[in-house]
Amino acid sequence: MLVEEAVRSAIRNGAEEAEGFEISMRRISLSVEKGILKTASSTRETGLGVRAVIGKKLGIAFATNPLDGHFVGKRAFINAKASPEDPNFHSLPDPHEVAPLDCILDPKIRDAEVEDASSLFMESIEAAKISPSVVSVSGMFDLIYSEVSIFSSRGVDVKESRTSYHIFLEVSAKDGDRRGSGFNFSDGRKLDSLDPERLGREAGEIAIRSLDSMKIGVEELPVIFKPKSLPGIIPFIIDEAANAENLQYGRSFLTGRLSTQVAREEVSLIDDGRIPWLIGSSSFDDEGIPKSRTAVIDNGIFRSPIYNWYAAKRDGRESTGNASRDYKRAPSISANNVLLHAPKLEMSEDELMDVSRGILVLYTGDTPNLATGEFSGMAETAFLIERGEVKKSLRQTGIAFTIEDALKGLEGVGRDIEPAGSYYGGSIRIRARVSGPG
Amino acid sequence: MSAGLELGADFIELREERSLSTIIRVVDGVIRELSSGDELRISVRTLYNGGWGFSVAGSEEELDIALKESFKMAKLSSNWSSKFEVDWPSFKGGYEVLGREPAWEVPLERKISILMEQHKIASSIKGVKNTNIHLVDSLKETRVINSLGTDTRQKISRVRISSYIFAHESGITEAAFESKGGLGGIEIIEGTEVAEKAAKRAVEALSAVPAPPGKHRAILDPKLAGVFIHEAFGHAAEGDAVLNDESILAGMMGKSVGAPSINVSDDPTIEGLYGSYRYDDEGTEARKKYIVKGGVLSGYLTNLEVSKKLGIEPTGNARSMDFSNPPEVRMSNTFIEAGDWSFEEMLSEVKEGIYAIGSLYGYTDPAKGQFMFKAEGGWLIEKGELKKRLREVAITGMTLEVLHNVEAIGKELSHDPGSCGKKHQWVPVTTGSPHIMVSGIVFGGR
Repeated sequence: MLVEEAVRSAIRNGAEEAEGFEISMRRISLSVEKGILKTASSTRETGLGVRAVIGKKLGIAFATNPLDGHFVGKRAFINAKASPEDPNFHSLPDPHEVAPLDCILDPKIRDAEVEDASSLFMESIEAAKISPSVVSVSGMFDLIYSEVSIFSSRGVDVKESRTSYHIFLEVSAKDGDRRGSGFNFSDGRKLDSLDPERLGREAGEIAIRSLDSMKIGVEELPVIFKPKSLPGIIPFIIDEAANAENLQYGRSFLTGRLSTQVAREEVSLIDDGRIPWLIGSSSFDDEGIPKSRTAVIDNGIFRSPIYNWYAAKRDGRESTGNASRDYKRAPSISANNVLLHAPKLEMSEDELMDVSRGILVLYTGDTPNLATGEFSGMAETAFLIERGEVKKSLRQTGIAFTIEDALKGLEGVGRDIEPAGSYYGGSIRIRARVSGPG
Repeated sequence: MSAGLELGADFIELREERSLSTIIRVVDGVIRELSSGDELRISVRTLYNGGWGFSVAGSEEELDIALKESFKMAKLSSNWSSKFEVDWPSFKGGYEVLGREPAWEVPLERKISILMEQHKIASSIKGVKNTNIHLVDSLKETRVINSLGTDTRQKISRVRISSYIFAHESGITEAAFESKGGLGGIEIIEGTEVAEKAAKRAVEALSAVPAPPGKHRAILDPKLAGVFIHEAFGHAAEGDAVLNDESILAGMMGKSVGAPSINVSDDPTIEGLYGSYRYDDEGTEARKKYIVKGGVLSGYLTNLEVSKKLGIEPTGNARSMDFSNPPEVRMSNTFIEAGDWSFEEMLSEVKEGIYAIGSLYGYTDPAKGQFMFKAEGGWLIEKGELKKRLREVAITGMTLEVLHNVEAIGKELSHDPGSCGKKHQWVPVTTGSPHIMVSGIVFGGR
């Protein structure tokens, strides 16, 4: 096997430890422009990366082609030789017992033909055309089947097949001089969890609703974030702020806050890499460590960072199964699936929207500042709420708050739980500074 | 080519790409990542009745299978209603930029010492808590041939160093980012000041206060103004968005979009810049073009298909992230050309406002015509002087309004390397601008 051959080559050349990471991927990808299928692509690729260790010196080599394990292993050794020592390096990961997770391979995706993908995607595209004012629907749809193998001289030997789908739609609407745009996206490991008609229709509805727009001025308002506006905000708290490396180097606003209160006591934030069919789920992480459940914020208290092997050993802890990598790079740390758990703050949609004046945010592309925890971004798709009713869409509207204020002042959490990127939770309502030109 | 034409394809394009790259990351003076690799693939793109098919071969031996797969994909995408005539110009030629000292020939030890030196400089500055220095160099050899006779070869060495520095004092942490890169050899980054600049800005930001939210008259520094024009206009001028009715600039050609003093161009031919190339990923020869000239919308960016459909000459803006992805319409080096104001003149003209500096990122919604770009920080201007240091802040604007609000353009143009994302593909670009003075943009501070 390629990955074994590469590891053995690194050892044969003089490395004391070596680890190989191999990923083979079959991807069907469709692209639609202006409502018409534009490009279909089908690719199969394999990437191999090897980490070699000499004492406390580490080197990595990678290749897609030629896939020569001997060469890649040797190159990793040469790179390790050239590298200065890393005093914080402990070892490559130890082998662990991995309990296989069933719900990560969907035969429908694995065996999909491009025609199957096309008919599903076009159903979504057609559903977005809800009005003559919809002038364009564009999007991408990917079906991926991948096989991951990790093998090391320390005894790690795991492999797994996984599937995933990723769909994204953008809708443009025009009515005279009025312009609107809508979007929708979904990803997961099981095709049946995708409702193509609903996905398209919702994107079309957002575009039409945003034709009527207005600008507001500077106000302090309740802001309701729908789940699809939150992948860059809530998971960030685990992915970046509670990332052990960022804490160890003092980059995060949560540095020095372990065991202190950082959120309302009703609020817990959990990383869980074993939830069936979610995009961040798999049996093991990218170092072969079993994925697990980590209560990062437990009843308002910051309880645990997330770790890969390197950062865990540096803190004298065990990895939490959050190593993440592509074959070219060293493993980093990232969240699996991030759950917001706050049953005492749960609200119905009517209760969440019950504000005299506020903002409903459907999408923002922004993330908080890691060092300060401040969020300052654009509400790309947002609507004004007056007396509980959704009114006109907002243009050129900024939103600003701090993560800690948001977590401590969280007013409510919706029951509209859905996966959105690595976020798995409902809408939230907080108070924030809103700024526009009006 | 002949096998593809026999299958019935209207157009075939093969892109062979070999890439050698090195990635080195130094954190607090310790090597955390030293990686190098070798990649080779041949992508096969076919066109049939208006639909594109795309596949990838690992070697020449796999080309036949990839061709058939690509054609199968093209047939699935085909649609008689979107069929168009394939009569693009063809291009032949070669281009090579390796620099004085090609980066892949430089021993790893020397590259490491450059990074360590940057760490040393940054960490010697009082208040610096954490240094992150990152080097990526690549040598990419590309050959594009197509069924119309195009045959271009390009060998480009690209180098970029970046520094991300965190400073800490009395419970406050701030960070700043700086990078330098271009086409050429290791000489591009030797003697760079990226770590020092980022460290000083991070320390300076420790005393920063939130920006006052709302509409302000502002001066944008060249980094920020470069991202501003990239997001505000560049994306909206991408011809595919125009063609698909997804850009607010559709139907605006020849119309006034800004003050007569404003010229915005996209030019991949500038020697040595990070977003430069001679031939794009369809083999089209690159050229300079104006997006805005004298305040008037004067050009869209295109690939072969979009140029045909818009009835304009191909602009050489088809770019892909790598062999795994088909080319899309993308920017290269996009910038506002120099004007005649000094920074001091702008300051005294603004009197009360904000001097926004450093760019973190930006994005746009070209359909609605709104965009956002994030400043690393800034200064409050009072009585024509820089008074209080400001924290990171988001700035929003509307594409069809902002250039009319540009009141002054500085004398000195400078460029900044970056990475631009579209359809999950990231490509190297350069943003650029002199200082500009703008009224009525909205700051989203607390």
